[in-house]
Amino acid sequence: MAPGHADGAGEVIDADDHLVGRVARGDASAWPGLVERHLGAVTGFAWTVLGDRAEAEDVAQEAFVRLMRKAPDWQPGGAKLRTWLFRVATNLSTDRWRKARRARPEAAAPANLNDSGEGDVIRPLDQARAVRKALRTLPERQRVAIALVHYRGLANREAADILGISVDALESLLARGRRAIRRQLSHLIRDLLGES
Amino acid sequence: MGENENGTELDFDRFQAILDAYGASPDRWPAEERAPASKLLARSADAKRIHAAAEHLDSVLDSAVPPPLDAAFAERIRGLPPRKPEAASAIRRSGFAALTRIAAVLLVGLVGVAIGLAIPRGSNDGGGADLATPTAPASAFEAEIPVADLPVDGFADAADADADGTLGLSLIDALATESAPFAGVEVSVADLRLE
Repeated sequence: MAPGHADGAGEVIDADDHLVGRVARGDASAWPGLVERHLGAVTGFAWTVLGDRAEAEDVAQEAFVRLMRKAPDWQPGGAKLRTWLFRVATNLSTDRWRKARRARPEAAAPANLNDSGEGDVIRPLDQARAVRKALRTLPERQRVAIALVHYRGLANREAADILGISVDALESLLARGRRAIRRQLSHLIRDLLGES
Repeated sequence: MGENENGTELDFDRFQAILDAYGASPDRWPAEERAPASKLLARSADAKRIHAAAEHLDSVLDSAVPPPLDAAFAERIRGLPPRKPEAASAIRRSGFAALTRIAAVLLVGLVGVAIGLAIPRGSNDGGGADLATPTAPASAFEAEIPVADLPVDGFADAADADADGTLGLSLIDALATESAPFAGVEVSVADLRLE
């Protein structure tokens, strides 16, 4: 199963509506339930997009503060809470990414990811670092699309809804993003295959 | 070719497009195309070949899964409700409230000055009172204004009063002591950090 893949989505949604309703009525005991359900996914998503734990936690915290503030306005049976949270986290992450890029343009510059010498042994940590670097070089919407579908396991329609695009457009973002990463990480893939 | 749940066949190009976008795991494939894509994969050598390439890329991507949720951070988020509104929004709004209070104090002072000027010095309406004996202060600037006497509703509360019950307002004091005067505001300190 894909990381973060959610089973029984219908039950999750109903439970979310119930919990948000209780929070809106001032029942503080419902809040930890919402946190348990979604904080890990939202923080993990922001981490994939931003590549920084502190930044990701700030984004997730802000998303949950907004959820608490908006709880009284929540319409049960409407949009999925998870979709709403990921949309908020997407916007917050994108804003932060753009600000960071304006402040430090080199942070988003393409890295030389094929710089390991021939015969070098690539350790798992190096591989993870190289993947994170490769993700950072992607245009933000490609990165968000991969974070939602590959890392969070969201269905294509939900991911497209979060991004405000069609499923076809989502597939295009995903395919271009994966192709760029494959190109950048070709040495890792060769290493995985045991090729020289 | 495989068939989807509507009986529509899935051609090789579409299978390739699915792998390009979603990778090798059927869990990520579009639900309505999962079955025909799996069928095609089961019987086509070419499909197996491109599927293997997609698997390799997935494996590389999977090496960068997010770290586990930090327990202290999760606890902080779980503890958001009890913190209630007093922090961020209240502090932002109290900037305006503090300015209004300062304006109110100045207004009271000006009224006091006006009253002081309107009363002739040395008035002996009291019928032979000793002019040299201090009686009432000439203006509100000289008086300590009891908080309860301030004529502006909603601005004066216990938090604004000094220990002796008089008004010792400063903007900084007001910012520090404001305690949620606006019902329904659900914001935490996080707002300050994040906005």
